[in-house]
Amino acid sequence: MSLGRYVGRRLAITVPVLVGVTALTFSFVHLLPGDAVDAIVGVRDVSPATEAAIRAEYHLDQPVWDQYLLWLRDAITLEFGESPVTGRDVSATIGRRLPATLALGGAAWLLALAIGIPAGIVTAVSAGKPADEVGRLAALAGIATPNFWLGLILLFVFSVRLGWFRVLPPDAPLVSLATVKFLVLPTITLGTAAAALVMRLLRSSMRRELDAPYVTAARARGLPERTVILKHVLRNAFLPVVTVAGLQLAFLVDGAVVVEGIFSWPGMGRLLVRSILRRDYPVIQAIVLVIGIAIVLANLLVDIIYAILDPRIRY
Amino acid sequence: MAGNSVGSGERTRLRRRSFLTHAGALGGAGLAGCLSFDSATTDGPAAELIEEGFAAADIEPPFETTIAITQDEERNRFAQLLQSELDETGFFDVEIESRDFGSHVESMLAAADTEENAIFVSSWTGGWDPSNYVTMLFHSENRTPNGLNVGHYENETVDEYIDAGLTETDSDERVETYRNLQNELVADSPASFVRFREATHVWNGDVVNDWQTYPLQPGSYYAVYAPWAGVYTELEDETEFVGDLGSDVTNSDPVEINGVVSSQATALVYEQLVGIDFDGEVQPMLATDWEQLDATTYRFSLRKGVQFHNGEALTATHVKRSLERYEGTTRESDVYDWYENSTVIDDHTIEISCWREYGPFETALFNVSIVPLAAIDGEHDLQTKPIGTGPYRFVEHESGSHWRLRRFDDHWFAGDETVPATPPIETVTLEIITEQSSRQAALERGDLHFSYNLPSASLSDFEANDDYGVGRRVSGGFDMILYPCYLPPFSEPSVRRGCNMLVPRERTLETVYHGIGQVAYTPISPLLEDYAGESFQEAIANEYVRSD
Repeated sequence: MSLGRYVGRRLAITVPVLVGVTALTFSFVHLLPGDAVDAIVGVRDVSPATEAAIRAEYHLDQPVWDQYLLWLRDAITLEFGESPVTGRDVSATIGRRLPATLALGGAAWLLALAIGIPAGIVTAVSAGKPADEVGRLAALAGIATPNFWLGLILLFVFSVRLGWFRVLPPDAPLVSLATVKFLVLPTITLGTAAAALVMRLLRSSMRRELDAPYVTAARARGLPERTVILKHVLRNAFLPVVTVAGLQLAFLVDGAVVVEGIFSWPGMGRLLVRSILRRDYPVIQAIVLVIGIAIVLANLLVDIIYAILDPRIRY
Repeated sequence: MAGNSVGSGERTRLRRRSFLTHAGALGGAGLAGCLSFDSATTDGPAAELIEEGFAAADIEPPFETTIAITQDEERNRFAQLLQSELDETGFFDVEIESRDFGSHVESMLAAADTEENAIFVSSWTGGWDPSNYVTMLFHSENRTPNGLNVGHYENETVDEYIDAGLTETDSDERVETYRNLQNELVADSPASFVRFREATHVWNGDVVNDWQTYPLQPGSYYAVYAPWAGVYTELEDETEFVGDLGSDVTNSDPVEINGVVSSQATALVYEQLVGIDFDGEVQPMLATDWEQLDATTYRFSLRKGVQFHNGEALTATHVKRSLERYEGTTRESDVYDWYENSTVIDDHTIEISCWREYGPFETALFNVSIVPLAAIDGEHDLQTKPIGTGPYRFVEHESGSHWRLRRFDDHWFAGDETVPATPPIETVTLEIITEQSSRQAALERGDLHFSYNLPSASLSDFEANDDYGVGRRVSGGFDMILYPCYLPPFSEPSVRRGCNMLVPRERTLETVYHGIGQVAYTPISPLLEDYAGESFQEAIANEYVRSD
């Protein structure tokens, strides 16, 4: 099968996956204790007529599966309606938050690769030497450090003590020097663990490859060590890293809840938490859909890169 | 509404909402495993009362029960303290269960129906009227799910006092009624009142001059400029004031607002007929004066030359239609708990009639924001852009980021000897910050000029630092324990009385809350001095709570 057809088929499978994910979320959210109308009226004393009117307006008076089908019908056209809690348009709300999330997640992902890959190579080729020991220790620390702790420490040292960075996001466009500067600390906070993970993975993967007969053969042919490592070993060692990096990309989209809180970053993570607490069903559903799409796309991307890296892989 | 939840008034008002907002706050102190106790009361008067109740209910100790709390560190420590006190008596075997906020509220609302065996730790916020503090929680008509009488407490005397307090308009009579009511409540102890909360305002002393602390949270930002209260603030070399909000603004239409943060954010935008100032005194705002024509009718003279931010001029019709706009909305009861109708006499005179004599009438009016006809007729959506007559107009709301207001140049106030005609602060930016530690960091770095919401543990550091100003005042919130009155042995008043004596109030205040707040024995905040002043609190404590 050609790559094109494979991608087409994968995309087609995506649809039932997303339907399944959103249906599950829909039912789980409705299983949560707490009533949407209570959230809307603030548990105030409202007349039964008013309460019934609110239920009818947001279809809360209908069975859950009917509510889901209604939601699905609109979601197909990317029409998410308005939030019963805030009265605002859901698509617009997410549209405003998504760029912030992508900017922070993307920056953290690039940082993870920019640090993780070189560090992985260096530690793999210098296995057993001091550079390796230091790198492994740093990776261990990186993975073991909870990001809320790291974020607070960075905030305390570089923002409060040294005053280098703002604590709150600047009132500036997303693409501006002030915003980019502000994003330094949250990016480090979010990207550190991912960088450590990538490094550890690449190191162990490369160590395995370095012992392979083809490496000995290449060296025996007198190829420069640099060519052996970068051209042969790295390419083969990259497969597991691609898998993890792809999944990390998806997780960075939704995994920033804590970091967004610490740095008051207006991303989707905080929106999701708030919406869950307030039983804001339409917003929860829309965010879950976005995350679902991100994960599906990331997986697809991983598979395509696989095929490019390893010509033996055919679909 | 600006003052809204502030002035609350009637039965319906603050109620369940503030409860939701605050249900997370009780705390306890001490480290698990190394607790020590104020009093080992195994055979003191508390134990005698409990023993008597167990005998009457025919229950063999130890009775196994649960302290239900929200997931909150302070509450958890409080619950541990309470647990030890109760276990120590030998009558109880107590576990602690913490739940997420929504589940906690849901289980409280359903507790009586399911006969849940649990003591609920919760809190409540009242306003400027004493009825706010008791009606929703203890009137038998407000048993869940109608109201928040979680324990399904029923006491005819209490009901009578609550009803009388609502319809009594003579202030001395009201004081008498609410004092009797509190006496009855503590004697019967459907709940234990633990701590009154404090408003704690911290500002950067290099930038902000003379900030005044409004005690109720929805009014936190009145200090920026509230000519009706004789208050304003100046900045050093700045025209933009940067404060914070504890979460995002969800609603900005007065008839929809259901959270404290939304009230705070719009407090400078909307105005009401009357205001309640920093000392709890009623002051004219959009009304210049008013008189009571008979038991249920009031005539108001409206201020002339008042303009809305969209250019409309205020008339009596605005007032009438703003009041009637509440019908069929989620905040309907703010108005229709008392409102009968109103008559427009002329452009600047209106008569408002109540369907019953209503004690909290003026505080209720502080809760009703006057909005432009464009919004009432549906041409303008206050949810996307709030428009009022206040000294600041809405500029923008970046969801999850900030809320911004700018000085309204055509505000009615012409200046007097205490407050200038033009607010010195040109722009008010409120940053939306959900993490307490980030809030503190932002204030320390200078990104924020002001915060009302810092961790209680760090307040003493700010107080000790000359670079910051700190304002502390008892507010309208209190922490409490609700007993399941529907369930033996808690159906026995003597058991509840005994438990009430065991509550480690002083220790909780000192170790869990770092001394922020005030020990509580009664529900009504000492903010309302006539109803719950210090000597009254002391008398109640000596009579019913202290064992020595």
